[in-house]
Amino acid sequence: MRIVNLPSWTRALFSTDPDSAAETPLELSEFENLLEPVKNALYGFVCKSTGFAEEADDVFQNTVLRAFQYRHGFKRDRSFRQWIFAIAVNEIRRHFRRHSETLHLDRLESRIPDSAAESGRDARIRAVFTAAAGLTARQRRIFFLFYEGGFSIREIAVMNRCSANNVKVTLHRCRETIKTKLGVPHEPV
Amino acid sequence: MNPSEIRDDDWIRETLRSLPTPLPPDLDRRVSRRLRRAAAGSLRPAPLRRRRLAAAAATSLALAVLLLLITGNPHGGTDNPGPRPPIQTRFFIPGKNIQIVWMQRQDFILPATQGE
Repeated sequence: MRIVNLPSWTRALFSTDPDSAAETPLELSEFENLLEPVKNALYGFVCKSTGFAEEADDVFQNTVLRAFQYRHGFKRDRSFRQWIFAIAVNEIRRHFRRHSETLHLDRLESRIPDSAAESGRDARIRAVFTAAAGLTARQRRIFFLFYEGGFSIREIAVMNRCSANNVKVTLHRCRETIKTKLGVPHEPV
Repeated sequence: MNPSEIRDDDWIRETLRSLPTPLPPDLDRRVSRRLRRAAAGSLRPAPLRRRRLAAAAATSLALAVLLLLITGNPHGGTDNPGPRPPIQTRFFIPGKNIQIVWMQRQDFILPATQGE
């Protein structure tokens, strides 16, 4: 009797995962309730990460729709905010694959409120965004996730699939770049 | 500018957040409309349905391959070539109405010395 070894990809056909059967995907109302408290922060993150690009609205819309399409991948015991921001990071990556990775800050001026000009904060805003424009795309993702998104180093490491040490080093380099752009002398370590 | 301010993460965070980026209402409405359309478009999330169809198709394919391997070989999947037709050798004796039919099931490999 001849014994035939099936290829490894066919083994998955006959395996049953009880966890996937038990977790029901989010309903629309549940998804909207989870999205409501984070959507402003999500939109702000997308806008600032893309440098207020015209396509920022499309990136935000694609993020939300993709999150809804793949809602079966969301486990209810995890953070929805972290999950949807991770999807936003991938959408921003896709955006920069189609367009230049350079941040064009010409639209920044129209976004600066008049109150910032009165308090002198507009110069700081311009300085930070000009410095962020000098970062690489990956550094910019980590920079905005930390400072704009408010995520911890560990969460950022998970979202970018790198080590926490890597994130710390990247943030340190971002700060040094900002200091250089602002003309602040570096202090010896 | 005080260098220690730059070291302070709050300085950068405050600066970034001092630039407001509220979600435009028309974009909010458009996204909600598309979400409702996406929810109405499928009774169940698409990937689950695709997974079921893919699993059924792959199971059928695997069964078909197994059946082909087992039954496709006329000899039942073994190395046995099966029954051979008998080799017939006919001898005619001239002048006599005699025909000898010699049937053999296998070739006899005779040592070379016997034929010489």
